[in-house]
Amino acid sequence: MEIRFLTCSLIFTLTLTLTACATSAIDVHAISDVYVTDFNSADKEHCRRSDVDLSHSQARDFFLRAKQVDRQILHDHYNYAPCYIEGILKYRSKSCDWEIRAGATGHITCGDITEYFACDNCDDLFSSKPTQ
Amino acid sequence: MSTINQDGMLVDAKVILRRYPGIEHGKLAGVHAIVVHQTDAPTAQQTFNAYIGGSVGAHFLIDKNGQIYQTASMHKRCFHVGPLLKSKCLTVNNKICDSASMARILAKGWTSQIKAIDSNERAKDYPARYPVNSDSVAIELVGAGLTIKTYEAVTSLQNTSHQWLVGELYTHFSLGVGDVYRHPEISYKNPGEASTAVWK
Repeated sequence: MEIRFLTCSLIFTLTLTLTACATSAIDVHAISDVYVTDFNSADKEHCRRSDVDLSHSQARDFFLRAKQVDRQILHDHYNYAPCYIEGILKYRSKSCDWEIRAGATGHITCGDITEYFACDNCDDLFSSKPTQ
Repeated sequence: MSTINQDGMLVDAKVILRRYPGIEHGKLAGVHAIVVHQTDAPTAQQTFNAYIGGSVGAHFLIDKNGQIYQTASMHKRCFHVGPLLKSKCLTVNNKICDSASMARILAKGWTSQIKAIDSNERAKDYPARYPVNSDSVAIELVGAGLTIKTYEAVTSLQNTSHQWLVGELYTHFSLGVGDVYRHPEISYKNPGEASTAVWK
């Protein structure tokens, strides 16, 4: 009886673990050392640094607040901004690259794995000011 | 020469009719333009699976082997453009933009700017603005995103079918080459989408 209970518990725990792994490819709470290293724009006239002027800590905050989405969701439901900041971070002792676009979307690339993010409640991070 | 039946479906041996009512959203009163998309998925089946549940979608889908499917009636609207429209006058002919109001819009930050541009553009009629969901049909070409900015190249079989389909739609709706747009031209989408699609 006890062996049966232990077996069931083990299967349950394993299932939970696998489910957690399947639904959250990057545990954003495990990212650290988030640094902004550059800004790029494919449309410098209309998409400027002030549109995505996040500090190191705000960049980390973006990934904590954003939801992880697949490419299809990003493609279908979010705007692609022509300018972005990029940088580096640490994730479980690995060095990874990231980008955050002015449209409140972004991604983290760790080796061959890229995870996509979109933030619906990050307006305060992108509150760019008029230039005139 | 193909025909369009009373249900808004294109009847021709080249087209498999596979209609998904879940991607049809209200009546499409008229067709003034064609918008060319790429699915961002590697197979047609993945897109069909998404369509079953109802979603955004397009009227036509062209598989990598060139097979054309009609997935929504041309009497019905599909949500394919995206929420915010770019400015056609800024891109195509700067002289016809209202320079004073456009200058005020362009002084805003990017997020506020694209919302203000959308609102400005939707007050116009086609062809002064880019097409919207309620006056255009959409063609999806099966193709996955490869990197952040690039997509799989459209196959030659897809492009052959695409050119035929676009030609048929020109005839049925009295359109011309100036009425066909790549998705990233008209709304804020990955610039690689449909970049290798061709038409005459």
